[in-house]
Amino acid sequence: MTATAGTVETAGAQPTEALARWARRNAWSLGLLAFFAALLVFTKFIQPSYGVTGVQGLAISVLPLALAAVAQAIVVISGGIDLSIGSMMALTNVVAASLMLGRSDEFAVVVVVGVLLLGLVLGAVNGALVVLTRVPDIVVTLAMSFVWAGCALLVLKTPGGGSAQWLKDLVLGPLGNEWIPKAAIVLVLIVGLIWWAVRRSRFGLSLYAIGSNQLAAFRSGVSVGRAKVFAYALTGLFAAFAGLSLTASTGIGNPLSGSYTLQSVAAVVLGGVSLAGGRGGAFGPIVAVLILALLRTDMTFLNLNPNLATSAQGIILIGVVMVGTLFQIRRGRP
Amino acid sequence: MSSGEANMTTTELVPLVEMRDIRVAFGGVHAVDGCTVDLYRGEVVGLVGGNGAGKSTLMRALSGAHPPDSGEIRIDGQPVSITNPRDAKTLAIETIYQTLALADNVDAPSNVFLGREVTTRLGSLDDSAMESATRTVMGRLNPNFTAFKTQVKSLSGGQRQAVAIARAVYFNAKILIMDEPTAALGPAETAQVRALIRQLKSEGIGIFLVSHDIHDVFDLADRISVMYHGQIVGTVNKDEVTIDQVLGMIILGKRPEEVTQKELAKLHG
Ligand SMILES: Nc1ncnc2c1ncn2[C@@H]1O[C@H](COP(=O)(O)OP(=O)(O)OP(=O)(O)O)[C@@H](O)[C@H]1O
Ligand SMILES: [Mg+2]
Repeated sequence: MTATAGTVETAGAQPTEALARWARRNAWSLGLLAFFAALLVFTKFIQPSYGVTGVQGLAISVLPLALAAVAQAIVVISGGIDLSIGSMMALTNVVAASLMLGRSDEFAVVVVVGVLLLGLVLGAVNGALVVLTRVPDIVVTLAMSFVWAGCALLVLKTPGGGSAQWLKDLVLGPLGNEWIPKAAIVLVLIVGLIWWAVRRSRFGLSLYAIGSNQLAAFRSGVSVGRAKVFAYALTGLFAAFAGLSLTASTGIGNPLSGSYTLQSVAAVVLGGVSLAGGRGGAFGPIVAVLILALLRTDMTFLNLNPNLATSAQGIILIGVVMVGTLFQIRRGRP
Repeated sequence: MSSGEANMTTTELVPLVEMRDIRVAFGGVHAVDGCTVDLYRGEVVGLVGGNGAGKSTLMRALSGAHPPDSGEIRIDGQPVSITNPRDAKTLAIETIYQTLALADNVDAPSNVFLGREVTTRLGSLDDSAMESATRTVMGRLNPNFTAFKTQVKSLSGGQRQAVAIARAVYFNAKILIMDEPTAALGPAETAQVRALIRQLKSEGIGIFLVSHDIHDVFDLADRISVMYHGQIVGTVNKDEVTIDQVLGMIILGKRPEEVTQKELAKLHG
């Protein structure tokens, strides 16, 4: 790798200390991961037949929401919120599905690239409006959610369209070992690469800085407006990934796809990203999505009314926010 | 008052900073109402005045945090336009704000370099370079500081102040604005900041020092500009006035020679 001698030295000096610091910073995510592992064991316990099929099903069903959660995490870390993620997913989903129907595989590649660019543009429009109008993020993105949803209905009135076979093959089924879902690999690759690049960039630092204290960041010379537009554009890009994953996993486009926006907010909060901004990452929200999905599965295994699952999700969320606030209060005033 | 007529063009006589007839209004409030101040190389100008007199607002006009509605700013005699903090930093104007301006959730080196990050050739953040540079400058300012990897929200007021000062010093400021730099500090840290101000002054840096501590100001400043209700009452040489006279200017908003005996008596209760 390109690590300089200096980095190796400082990193190698106290590897245990660095590891401990990493663990402290990611304590919440690691806790979530442990909880998810326990939940898998519990699932196997209540439903002994839960196995390869269950894991594969879980992976493919969480892919769109996991990508949406990462999209939401980015903008929430920057101190904003995006209530149009679900609509952007619907729009990119139907644009991809309607363009790909009956066209060649090569053309589908062009469509995928174009749809990702479309996501960037949609997000940048959101961000530019937030910055230029100075209207609160929550209002601007709520309004834009209607705009993007309307556009989706203009493209496709009812579910339809199609997906290139290679796009479906990209996310459906296992890779190598039957236990390893392609969807999980796609998720890890997309999020891993982009998130890693963001964290290592100047933009990544300004993302956390404007989320921590926008005034301080501005006075330090950060271009707050530009950083915000970047954040929203990146959120749009991930919403487009999420929309494409819907096209790939369902094989069609649906202008009225589910309640992804609010679920993404839930996953972000549960995943340890502070709604006040400046804190958290991409890993926690993804694990949170896995937990929420598996809880839902377990409720069906336990023959509980699935509507109860939705309520349970809300209760968990309130609990998490309350516990988180208590921790913050205790830390803030030692 | 020594008002050396600036007919001569030697650089020593061109002020480092001239702010002329600066005005800033918030709605109907004229926070800064036609202020003119200047600052020379290696000089400390104390800016004093009651709460709400407009000191911070005047300084924010120079630091780019809130550009003035009207007025002229000259640096080294050249008119400049400072519309945001980046413009100010390009002109080597650094600011230590009254309310500390740090990003709580990132560490000290990232705060020092925020907005001016060091990157590797590949364009990614060079954390080790930023950390070692921060260690070097911090060694000069506050050798006890070791918290280079923790988020600054868990630092003490003094440590946070050290980070803010490190940021100003590292980038070779020519002009330093310190708005109540010791307000949140204990005696030891205050002494450290005073020593630092003297050192920076000896290096030729011009410093605007905003402070409510009149003794601090008399101790450190060469000249004192007094603000009252958004206007400059006057600028005096420290050696030519007494503390009481400056207090009179702050409280009454009049120059010493304009103050009547009656007012003076009232001032002394
Ligand atoms: N952002 C703002 N919006 C509205 N009014 C403001 C703003 N900033 C300052 N003011 C007003 O401008 C006036 C001058 O404020 P300023 O902060 O410059 O005073 P100051 O001399 O620094 O006072 P202090 O000694 O208390 O720090 C006050 O009346 C204040 O209420
Ligand atoms: Mg002030």
